[in-house]
Formats: sequence, structure tokens, C-alpha cells
Amino acid sequence: MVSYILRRLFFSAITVFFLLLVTFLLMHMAPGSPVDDILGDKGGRAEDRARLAHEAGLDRPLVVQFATYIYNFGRGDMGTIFATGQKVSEEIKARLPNTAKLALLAMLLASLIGIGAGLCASKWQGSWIDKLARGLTVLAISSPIFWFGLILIFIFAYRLEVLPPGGSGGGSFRYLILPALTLGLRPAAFIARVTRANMLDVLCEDYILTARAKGLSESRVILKHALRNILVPVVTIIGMDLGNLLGGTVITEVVFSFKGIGKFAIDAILNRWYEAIMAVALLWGIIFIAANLIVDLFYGVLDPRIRIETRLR
Amino acid sequence: MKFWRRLKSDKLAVISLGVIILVVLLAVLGPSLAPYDPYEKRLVPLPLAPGKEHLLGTDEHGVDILSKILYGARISLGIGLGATAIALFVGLMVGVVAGYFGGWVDGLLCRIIDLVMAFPSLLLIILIAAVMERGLLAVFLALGLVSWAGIARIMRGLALGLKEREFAESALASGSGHLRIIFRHIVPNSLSTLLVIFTMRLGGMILAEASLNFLGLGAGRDSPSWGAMVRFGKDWLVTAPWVSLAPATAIALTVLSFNLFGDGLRDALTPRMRAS
Repeated sequence: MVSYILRRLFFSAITVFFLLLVTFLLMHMAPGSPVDDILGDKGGRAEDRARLAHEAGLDRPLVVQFATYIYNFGRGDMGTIFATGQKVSEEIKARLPNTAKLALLAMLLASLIGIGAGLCASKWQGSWIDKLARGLTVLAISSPIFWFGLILIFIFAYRLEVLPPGGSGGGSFRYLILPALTLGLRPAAFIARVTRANMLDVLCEDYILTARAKGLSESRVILKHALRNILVPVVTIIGMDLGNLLGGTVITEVVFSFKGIGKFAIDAILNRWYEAIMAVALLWGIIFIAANLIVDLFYGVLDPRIRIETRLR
Repeated sequence: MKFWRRLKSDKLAVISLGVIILVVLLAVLGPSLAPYDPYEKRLVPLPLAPGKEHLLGTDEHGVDILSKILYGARISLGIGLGATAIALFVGLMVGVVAGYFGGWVDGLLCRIIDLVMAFPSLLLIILIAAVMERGLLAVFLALGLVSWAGIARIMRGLALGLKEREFAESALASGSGHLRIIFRHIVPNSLSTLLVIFTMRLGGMILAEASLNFLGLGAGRDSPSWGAMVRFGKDWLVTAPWVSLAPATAIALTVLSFNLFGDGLRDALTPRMRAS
């Protein structure tokens, strides 16, 4: 287990390094420079351009710029947006909790809805409930996030006027409900699918037969004995879908004008704030890689069989 | 043929195929069917509501939404098809080479695949789109260049199995070169899997294209791109919901059809893949 963790950590570290390198090089190749942003394309006097480039450190060798960037990033200094003078780290510190709340609530809703729908579908396999659940999952997986978000806004914010149409309200719960539902729709569908398939498998197992033979109530059989066994596949799905979830937060935040990291990333790209783009890309990559690592290690805790198999290997 | 019978028995797949054919027809004939010019602006006080004049209403510039959607079908399908084709080609080549040659080539290519897949794809797409000049070309290349890794992994597994089969071994024994074996035996035997992957990825690709345009990384305000229409239409959600909801629904319907048809095709063509 220890060597497995070490190997995974090593590979994760390499991935983070490549992420740094790729982000840095891509941004270096990007059209337009911060100097152009301030003085206009090719505008200004040559010495002013040179002075600004020097202030931004753009005249130093590429390797030095890269090393400086890694060093500063490690210290938590993500640079300053050249055009506005905002500190990137401050902006991220203010927005990250909002995005985290949004993503967590979305996953919570997705798990509840998904597992619930999957359980019902497997319990009444082949009935209209099952068919309805299947239709809704396909629909949910195919719908663009922004389509669902706009419809929710239209119904709940404008027609019924019960929830705010957008904004983040300082992260208060009322402002989180619609975005979290929007973001959670896709994972909910995946979780429902996996729950249903795995429940149908598990319900045929001997220990379920034993539990029923012991005279346990149906709800106890399902909740205590069967549900436990679908946790691993459900966690797997959540882990595998993490990349999509990150992408989903971006779209959701744009739909709801939600003050989070994703909206910041898009603002940064549209305005060519290179420091901000690099910082967010890096942050995302690290979160994604770390989360994948945690999900992998989590299996060992959830399912002792996996722990033993890894040890034998 | 067994395949057709199996496909025909899947009602949803048949309906989705119908929708797909309709969308393709619209993409081809769109410009001649469109009742108005999607670039022609007229002075209107507010977006006009759907009615006899404009079936799906107009946007705030008086541009007919239906005409815009008809023109936009080309963009969605074109970029979706093109990007999927790039991803499929790169994935096929990398996967088959890795699986067929094995050894250090396989090791190296697998590490690269792992590395690409270790990043959230939208992150890479956004980074590429950020570097390039904004526009549809950026969207197209970013999508194509990021999505090959998963396909490569599937194709590697397939090639690994195929090269052990009798026909490949006998070809090698009778002196055929590696390239000949790859293109004569390995690739043709992967075609049904490729077709299934292609259909199943296409829906996702069209969705990704719409999302990027929705985020503003691609087409501009006047473009009939569906994603861009939703982006600029969402400001009118209260007073004129059709401006954004009509193109958004077009995207949803198209993606849904491709996904359903892909599922049906997979079940009919490769029954063994159904389990996964």
C-alpha cells in the first residue's frame, strides 16, 4: 500500500510539473502582451515599452522567468494582473470558497437524487418508474448545462419569483440552490445509472438472499446490506466525472454570474490576464490531480478487497 | 442483415436517426430554406415574439432566430464532425502504433496518454483557445487536439488483441511489412468500434463546441453559432426567452439524438461492448 501511494504521489508530482510547463509555454506563445494592453498594440515609445517589459520581467531568459514563476507560486504569490493591479491570490482567495460550496452542494444533491432514482429504478425494474428514470438520465446527460440553467432561472426566478436569478449573494444558501441543481444534473444522471446497474447485480448475491432469509425487513436489506456495496462504483463515477464537474462549474458560474473561480477564469481569458489564467489553470490542475489521488486511496478504505489486492501486488 | 434488424428494433435509435438526418439536411439546405438573411439587421424596439412573420421570433437586432438556427446547423455539425475526425485519427494512429509495436514505444505513448488524461479536458481546451486568436478555428483545433487520448487508449487495447490473431500472425509470417499489417489488417478490423466511438463522441463534441461558444471563446456576436446565440440571448431571458432558449433547445435536441443513436448503434454493432 505504501509503495502504491508513493508511486501515485510521484506520478502526480510529474503531472503537476508538466502542467506548470505547458501552461507557462502556452501563455508565453499567446498573442498580445501585457505591454500592448497598457500602451495599445505596438503603441508607445520604444523606451516606455522596454521599461514596462522590464518591470514585468519579460526581458529575462525564459528559464529564469519559469523558475521565478514556480518559486513565487510556491510561496502563494500568483502575481498581479498587470492591467488592473489586482492581486491574483487575493481574488482567488475571495472566490475559491464560493466555487467549493457550489461544487460540494452539487455533488451532495447529485448523490441524493442519483442514488434515490437508481434505487427506485432497480427496485421496480422494468416498470414505468424504471423507464421514466432511464429517459430522464439520457436527457440529463445530453442537455447542455446552460440550457438547463436558463430554464431553471426562467421558471424559478422569473415566473415563480422564489429564488434569485443569479449573483452569489456572498455565498448564501439561497443563491446556491439553482446553480448547484444545474451543476448536479449530469453527475446525478451518471450516479443513477451506476446505482441501478450495480443494485441489480448486488441483489442477486448470496448474502442478500441470506439477509432476506434471516427475515430482515426489505428496507434493512437494501439500506444496510445492498447499498454499502454500491458505494465504490458511485465514488468511482464521482471521481471519473470530476474533470467534467470542474468544466461544469465554469459554465454554471457564467450562466448565473456567480462570483467563483470559473467565472474569473473566463474573465481572465477574455481580457488576456495571463497571470490569472496561469494561476487558475494551475490551481484547477492541482485540485483535479489531488482529488483523483484521494479517490484512488479512498477505495482502499471503502472496500477492503481492493486494499488486499494492492498489497498482494 | 442481423445488424439492421437489431438497430430497427431499437425505437429510440430509429427516432434519433430521423432527427439526425433532419439536422444534416438542414445543415446542407439551411441557407436555401431560411426565410430571412441571418446577418441582416433591422431596427426593432424589442426582440419580436414568435408569430406568423417569424416562427421563432427575432433577436434584439431584428434578426430572424429560425434563419440563424438554420445557418448555425452547419457550424455545429461541421465543427463537431471535423473535431471528432481529428481526435479519431490521432487517437487511432497513436493507439494502434502503441498496441502493435509494444515495448518502449508502447510505454512512452501510454505515459503521454496518461498525462493528457490527467488533466480536465476543459482546462486544456480553454488554455488552447486562450492562446489562439479567438474564433471558430480555435474551438475546432482545441477540441480535436484534446479529445484523442481516450480514443487512443481504446484503440491500443484493440490493436493489442488483434495483432495476436491468426490473420495478423500469418501475414507477418508471409513477409508483410508492419505498415501493411497495420493498414490492411488491424485498422479494417477496428472499423466497427471506430464507427461506434465516432457516433458516441459526436454528441459530446457538438456539446463542447456549443459550450465554448457560449463561454465566449469562439464565435462573435453576429455569428449564427448556436452556442454564441445562447451567450448573447441570455441577457433577454426575462423579456424574450426565445432568443436564448430556441438555439439552446436546438443544441440539446441534436446532442440527445446523437447520444441515443450512438447507444443504439453500439448495441447493434458490438453487442459485447454493451456490458461496459
